[in-house]
Amino acid sequence: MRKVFSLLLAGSLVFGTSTIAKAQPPEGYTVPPLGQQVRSPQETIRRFLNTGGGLAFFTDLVEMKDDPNVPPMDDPNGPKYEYYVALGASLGQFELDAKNIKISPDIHNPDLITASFTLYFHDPSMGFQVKQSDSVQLKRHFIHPGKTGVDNEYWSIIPGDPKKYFDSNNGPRSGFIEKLATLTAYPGQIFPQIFLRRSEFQLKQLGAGLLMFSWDYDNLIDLTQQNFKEKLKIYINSPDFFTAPDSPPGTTDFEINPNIAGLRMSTFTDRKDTVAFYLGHDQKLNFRYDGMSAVCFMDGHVEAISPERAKSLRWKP
Amino acid sequence: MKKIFPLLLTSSMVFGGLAIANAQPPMPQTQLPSFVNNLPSGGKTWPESTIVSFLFLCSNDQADAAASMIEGTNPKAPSLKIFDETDEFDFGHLQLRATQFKMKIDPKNPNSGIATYNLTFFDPTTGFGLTQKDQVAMNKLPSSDGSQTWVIVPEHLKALNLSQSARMTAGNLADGYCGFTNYLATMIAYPQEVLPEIYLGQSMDRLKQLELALYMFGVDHDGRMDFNQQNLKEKLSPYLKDTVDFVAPGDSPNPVAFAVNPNILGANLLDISSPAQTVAFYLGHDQKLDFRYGNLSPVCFMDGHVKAVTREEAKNLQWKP
Repeated sequence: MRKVFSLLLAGSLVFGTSTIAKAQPPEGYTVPPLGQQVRSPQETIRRFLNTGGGLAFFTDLVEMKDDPNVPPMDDPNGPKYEYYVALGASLGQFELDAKNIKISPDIHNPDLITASFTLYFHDPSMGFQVKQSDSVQLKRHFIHPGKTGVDNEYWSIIPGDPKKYFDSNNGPRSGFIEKLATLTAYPGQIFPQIFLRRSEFQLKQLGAGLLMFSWDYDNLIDLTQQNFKEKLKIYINSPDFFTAPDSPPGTTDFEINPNIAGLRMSTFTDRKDTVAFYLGHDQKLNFRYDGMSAVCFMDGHVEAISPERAKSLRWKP
Repeated sequence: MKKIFPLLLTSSMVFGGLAIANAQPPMPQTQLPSFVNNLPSGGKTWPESTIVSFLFLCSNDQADAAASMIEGTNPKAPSLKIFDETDEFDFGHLQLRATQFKMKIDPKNPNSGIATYNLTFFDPTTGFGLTQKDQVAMNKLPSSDGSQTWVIVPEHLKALNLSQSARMTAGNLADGYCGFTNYLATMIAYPQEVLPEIYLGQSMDRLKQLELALYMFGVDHDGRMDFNQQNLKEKLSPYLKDTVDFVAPGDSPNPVAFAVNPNILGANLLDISSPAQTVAFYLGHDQKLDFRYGNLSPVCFMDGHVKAVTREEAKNLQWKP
């Protein structure tokens, strides 16, 4: 038990997701060992939330599919570091918990159940929480094939369809745990999409920052390739917005189109097609996210860009 | 200057007409409802636009700009800098949104009402989200120029009962409402008064990090806690991301404010028979808790959980493993 808890704790420090780092067992709650050990559905859900969806470290909590992008448990390189960072960044200082877990068996299949529960986002620093109902399906496995009974079974969370991951209609339930399980099972399919969407978000902030900057400088884009980061810094929420979500801190992945530098906003005749900021360097887009890149245009809108679409971008005002 | 621009930006979004508000919002963008571009001009705000803007600013760590939407709160108050220093509004990439907004006007006072809506925490990039009902009191304030503004009425501080660690509750909300908007508004309205509460929460976070470091240290030393109060910082620092975890919030950077329970030193992690009851770290010295944050002091136990204990509870702490 100690080793396992240490592993949880070690994972939290090594991978640095705030959710994992701040996970703590409720008072009097014993964290059971990892691996295919006896484990109730309730225990599976609570442990999964306590680990913050620790991906490959805790893949036994989720029904794993044949995804070549998931490192095996004994892979010395482990899962990709940036996946953990993305998860931690998403949830901030919120911790997760599930209460009032109720089980509904599938009458056609005794190895399937649906767990319904109340999901909590809890901020231990502010002492606040919000909650919503949630549910997830679990599948039963037996430790010794051929034997049955509650003493030698464990349950794993069934992930959702990765192709429907970004479908937002969950009805009244949060759908959070299923999403987390889907991420765990299909990280290679989903994380590039998450990074692309985050890149678009950051580019949007850069576009807003550029607009505000121009207001202050009499509509002049008084920026250069060399100083745009420094000059725009006070107009954007975070200096991290110049760095792609899967890059090390301090990296500059989003560049300004050098052709717009020194011009007045009024000189642009076709703002919606003229590049302002882009993912890449030297006016060459970086198609790092499943073959897609991202661009912010002079009118402030942002697009995910395919190599084909890139050919029609306007770089000269 | 930095603080002015988010306010400008938000104003632009609320009142419409500015390019940024009209720019096409691609999918992962924080999206404001369509009504914000259709507001009447003349300096009026509607209750919904106030709530949407307030939540937007809070989720983007702009407490001072958000203060302009709270009744009786000065956005230029120096005390609001507290929120810059403490990173109190760390929601990660989660954005706050209000949907299905309803306003119930007080039949006896048309300038007052209760706003009810679904409050959603949503990260558009990962798709993580959670929704709960919320409600907050609002007042309509006239201005000398003839305009009118709806502002949020914060709960009186005593109603929040912060000092009693009723930290989950927010006033007398009806069952099922999370009260988060009210909570945020009250914190921003009374920054000095809630500071001890903020510091207490941060102390608990830091104690938790020390506990994690303790376990890591134990793993590397066959479970044995071979250090003492004097070399605590030196021994555990390699296992911490930041040595600020030794310092109590609000203190100068140098002193180590948190103490290790001397009775566990030299023992093995495996020998702690009741870890959920045994003190590991605490704020104070010589096994005496420091109640600098009011009636509560943070304590970390050997099983990893952290609790803010009262003076009464402190008498029954288990110090011997």
